[in-house]
Amino acid sequence: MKNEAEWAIKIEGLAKEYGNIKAVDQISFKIPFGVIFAFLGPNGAGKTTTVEILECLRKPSAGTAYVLGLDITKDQNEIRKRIGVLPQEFNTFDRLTVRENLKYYATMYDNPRDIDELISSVDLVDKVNTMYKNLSGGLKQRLGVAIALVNDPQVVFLDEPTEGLDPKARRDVWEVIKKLRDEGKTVFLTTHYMEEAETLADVVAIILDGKIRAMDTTTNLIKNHGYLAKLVIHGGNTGAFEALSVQWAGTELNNSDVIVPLRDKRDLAKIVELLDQRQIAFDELEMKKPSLEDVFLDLTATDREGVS
Amino acid sequence: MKLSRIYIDFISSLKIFFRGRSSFFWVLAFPIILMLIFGAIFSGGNVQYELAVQNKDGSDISASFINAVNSTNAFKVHMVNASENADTYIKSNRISGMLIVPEGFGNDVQRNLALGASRPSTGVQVNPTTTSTTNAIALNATSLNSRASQAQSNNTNVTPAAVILKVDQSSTSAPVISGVLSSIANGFNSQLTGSTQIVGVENQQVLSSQFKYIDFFVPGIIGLTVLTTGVLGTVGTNTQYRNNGILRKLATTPLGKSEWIISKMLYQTVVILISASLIIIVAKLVYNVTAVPNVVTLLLLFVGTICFTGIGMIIARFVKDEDAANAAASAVTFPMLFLAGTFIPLETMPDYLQTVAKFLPLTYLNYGLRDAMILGDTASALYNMMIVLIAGVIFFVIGSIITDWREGG
Repeated sequence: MKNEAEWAIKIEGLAKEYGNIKAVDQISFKIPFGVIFAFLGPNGAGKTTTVEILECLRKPSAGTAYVLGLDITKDQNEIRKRIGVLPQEFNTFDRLTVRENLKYYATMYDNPRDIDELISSVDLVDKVNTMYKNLSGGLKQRLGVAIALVNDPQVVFLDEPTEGLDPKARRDVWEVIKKLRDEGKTVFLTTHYMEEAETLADVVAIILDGKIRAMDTTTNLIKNHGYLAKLVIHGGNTGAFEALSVQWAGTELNNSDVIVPLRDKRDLAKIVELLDQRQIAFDELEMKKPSLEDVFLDLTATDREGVS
Repeated sequence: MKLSRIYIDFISSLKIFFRGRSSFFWVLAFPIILMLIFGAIFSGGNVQYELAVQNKDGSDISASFINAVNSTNAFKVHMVNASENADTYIKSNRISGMLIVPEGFGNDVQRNLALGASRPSTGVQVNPTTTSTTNAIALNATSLNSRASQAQSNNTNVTPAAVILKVDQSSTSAPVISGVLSSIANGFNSQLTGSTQIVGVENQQVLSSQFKYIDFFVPGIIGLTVLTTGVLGTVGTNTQYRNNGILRKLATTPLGKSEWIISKMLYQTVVILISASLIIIVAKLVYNVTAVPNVVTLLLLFVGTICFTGIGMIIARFVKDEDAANAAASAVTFPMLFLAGTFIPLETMPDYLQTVAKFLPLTYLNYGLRDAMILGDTASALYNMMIVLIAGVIFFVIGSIITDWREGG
């Protein structure tokens, strides 16, 4: 479908208040076409409220939002035709089969995709005549994704798509989501699983208490977090901690392990040399690449300090 | 609005209905079970009252009097040994009526016959078995006797030969039992004296065909189905789909609220038609009730569905918790079932309850269905249908407007 919009999603000063509670507090961001965007935040941070505003289920208290260049307060009908949604805690008709459920949602749209093709794309061919209620959690979510794709949408919203799934089922759903990027869809993924965002997302925004705290490509977020890696000195004890904490700010002692953030490429060599010189005993050394989780935990830690 | 969307939702709803055992039971089987139970209670052959009879006399006349009692078929007679103490027997056997033919009854009758022809020779003396009402019944007994003695005072002093009836005055059958026995006594008198019957009662059927309780009840059961399917079904679907997230998913698709409501209306109507057909077939097979559905019946079912679906939507809008909503729906439907004359004819209810019934749409649906299916009174059925339709449109419009899928409509 021809679309002149510059951004898949554009939000400016968006706010949603319930009484005195600011569920979403003046957020602004833009999402380009064809990326997997992860909206990361703890439960209650305002993720679902934001998504439901974009899906035209809720009305914003202030601000503007455009999905595919369409105004969410004016062009709801057009938006509904062009987006796909997997709601939080997705559910569909228990006593309809996989095929009947897909057929139901396909009929809601003017130009639906081929149902059989969709069923095979989410790997549910064997279950096509199984009733929804008899599917496992992972298969239910995969059907949910298939239903979200039934109108061949340009933007797909996936709200906590792997919540409550076991690790195997989670990875299977991830595979389905990764395929969406290959198909050129823009995916708006909300999650509170760091690993999920890190594995899937091209761009991540971290939301805390209704505010966007950080947004960048996943790589940049981690790279700009301030250190290259963390060196864990197992069994280093207080000896190693005292020797290193002077020179390397942010060094932590965690039980018997000493954790040193490395900011410079030569830091590792220096530390090993120092430990050798002072004959400080330790069990083993481990290098830890920084993850999105570190970025997230640092942000929430800053928040808590601000509060206390 | 697109027909394809309405159609798929309608077909899917029917599939879901037929695949669900509990909905299947409550909507299709339950009304029929209810009809069979009520049918068995109220129209299981002739009504017979239990009556214990103690014959202390032993004459031919007393035997023929008891025969007369037996031949009315109004009583299921248990003969009690003459030596038995009546009061003890009543208490230990928990019976509500006992007829005692005292010793010398035959002789008294013979004596009265000898004294004069056209005078009452037999009377029923009522003795209450419960002490609380002794006075009232003593008066009753006196008046019965005094009327007899008035008639007799013109001539010679004749005391009627009396049989004694002991009845539990708290029992609803007491007036019927003493009434029937009094008529038997009167009949017995005329027979003995050979007097001509001057005033008689001829029984005539009000309807062309016999109108029994079950005839009254079958349309009521159909009304019940319309009410419960409409209110409970709508509340159930709305709260369940809201709470399990299906409504939220549907709200993100182009499916319109009006399309959804129309489809659900059609679905409810079809379910009700299936249920009503089953009820009519079972009523015909089991009770030989000929409830003939016609076009007006179909219209009534449809407007009834509109009305109760509307009420269901209003309840579902305000009570969002699933259990609370079902409780609220039951709180609306069950009193309405009883007050709108589903089980008991309205005419037998106290005036103030009849006034309440005038404000219930189910009352008019029940009236209308009886008019259309049993009485064949099309004009009255249409009149009642109009009332249901007006109420239905009001509830349905309000319900449709306030049903909220998305924030702000």
